[in-house]
Amino acid sequence: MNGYVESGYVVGLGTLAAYAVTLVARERGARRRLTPTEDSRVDSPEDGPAPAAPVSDEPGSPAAASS
Amino acid sequence: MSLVTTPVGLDSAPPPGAPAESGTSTSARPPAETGRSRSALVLRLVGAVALVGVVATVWLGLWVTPPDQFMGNLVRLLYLHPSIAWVMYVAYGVAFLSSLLYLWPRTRSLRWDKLAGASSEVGVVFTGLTLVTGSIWGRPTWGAWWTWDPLLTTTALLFVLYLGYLAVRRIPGDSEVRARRSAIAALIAFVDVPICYFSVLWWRSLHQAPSVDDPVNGKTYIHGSMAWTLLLSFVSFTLVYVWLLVHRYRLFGLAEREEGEGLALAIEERRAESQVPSR
Amino acid sequence: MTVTAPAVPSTLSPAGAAARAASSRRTRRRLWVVAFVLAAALGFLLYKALTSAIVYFKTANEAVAARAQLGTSTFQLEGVVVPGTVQRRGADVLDFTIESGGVKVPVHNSGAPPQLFQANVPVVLVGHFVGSSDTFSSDQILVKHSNAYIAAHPNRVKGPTGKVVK
Repeated sequence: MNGYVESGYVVGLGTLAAYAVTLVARERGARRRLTPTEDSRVDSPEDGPAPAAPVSDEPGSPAAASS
Repeated sequence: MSLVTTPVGLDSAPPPGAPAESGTSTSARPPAETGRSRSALVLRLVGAVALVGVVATVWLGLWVTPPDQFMGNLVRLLYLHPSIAWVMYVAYGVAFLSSLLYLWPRTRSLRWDKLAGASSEVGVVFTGLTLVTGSIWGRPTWGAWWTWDPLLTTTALLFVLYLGYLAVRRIPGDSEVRARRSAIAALIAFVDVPICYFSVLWWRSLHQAPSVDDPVNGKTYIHGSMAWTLLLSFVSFTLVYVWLLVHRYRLFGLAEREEGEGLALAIEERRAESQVPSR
Repeated sequence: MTVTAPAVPSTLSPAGAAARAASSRRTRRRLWVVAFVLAAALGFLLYKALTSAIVYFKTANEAVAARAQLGTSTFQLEGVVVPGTVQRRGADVLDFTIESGGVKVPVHNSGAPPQLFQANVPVVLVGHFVGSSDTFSSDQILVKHSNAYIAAHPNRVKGPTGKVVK
């Protein structure tokens, strides 16, 4: 159709998808780093972590599908 | 131990009307759990609707809508560039309001600081995209990738100002001090937002005035299906913004908890060390 | 936690404290570099805003009125392309006339015109007056388009009332 139009959409939507993917990846990374330390805390019963439910990220996220 | 872990949880209650934090609840606390899963569900729904909306916009914009009588097929960037610019204004507006709410003593909360930070970062992404998609549109229609027109110049200024804001957020310091500093920076950066928006009306510009609800005579100058597609585009990109904002906000919460845990670890380390000489 | 945070590093092990100090020095240096780059960009953009953007163009009648003081300096000139005046002189050389406020200015342009260049559209030209004449020599044409979007083939789409607009 027209190279400018397509490249506009590719750059625009591609960047947003990439940004969304990084956010989700960083979130997963942070959760992974946090969960083990929570489990290792045995000395404090009041906030003693019942094995935390696996925190899943959004599978139906725009990032997952639009990329 | 509890000394360290209690304050970590302090900030994890979902703020009113703001993105909820997740991951802190366990099965031992059912109310929190249901609250979390409901907000997670809403967020997923927002993501799904945003995705469907963007796909529909692309389909309508590239295949269904007619070419413009003047621009021809180049008009199809109308369903991308203005919506992205709109989200930029929304994002900076949210950052401005939450910074004000942080500075206002009665509503002071680090949640507002995080929300402002999240919204500004998303805003910077959208500003970059506004500049790039505008440039891609400008080259074939105006005949130049860039020109020092008031709207373009003030938009570039917005990009730099909010990058500066994000840099200010990274200056080390106590979190309350950092939040106050950032909030003031956000208010300063926001000065350029109305200047940018009204520049096409205040000064001579190559860029056209907004087509929807033109502030000069309140008319909309868009033909039938083109107007509906443009509206869909605005709604869809706004939902994309909401989805990104909530995820970015949660990331701040997680980083805070990580910092807290790192601190807990360091204190434990120190305790262990201090026990060695005493023995 | 947030309140005690800054006080804690001093109580940590010497090795940890040293590592932290080094990393905070690195952070500070990086922040200074970022601050410098951003300040430079900000200064440049403010300069551009106050010089180029504040008066982005002069209309044809204004330019002719200020002809003497403009001399042969480069500026942006705006006007509507007068129908019937566009003449191709070569591959990328065009002659035409623009009009604004009832004043016409003949233009000699070199450089490829944008694909939307045509009669009756407002254009912004980058260039200067030639010698002491009223002819404007431009090397870039920028097409100003309106904010109206109208379907090119109206009979293919439905109008606001649901009827096919012819």
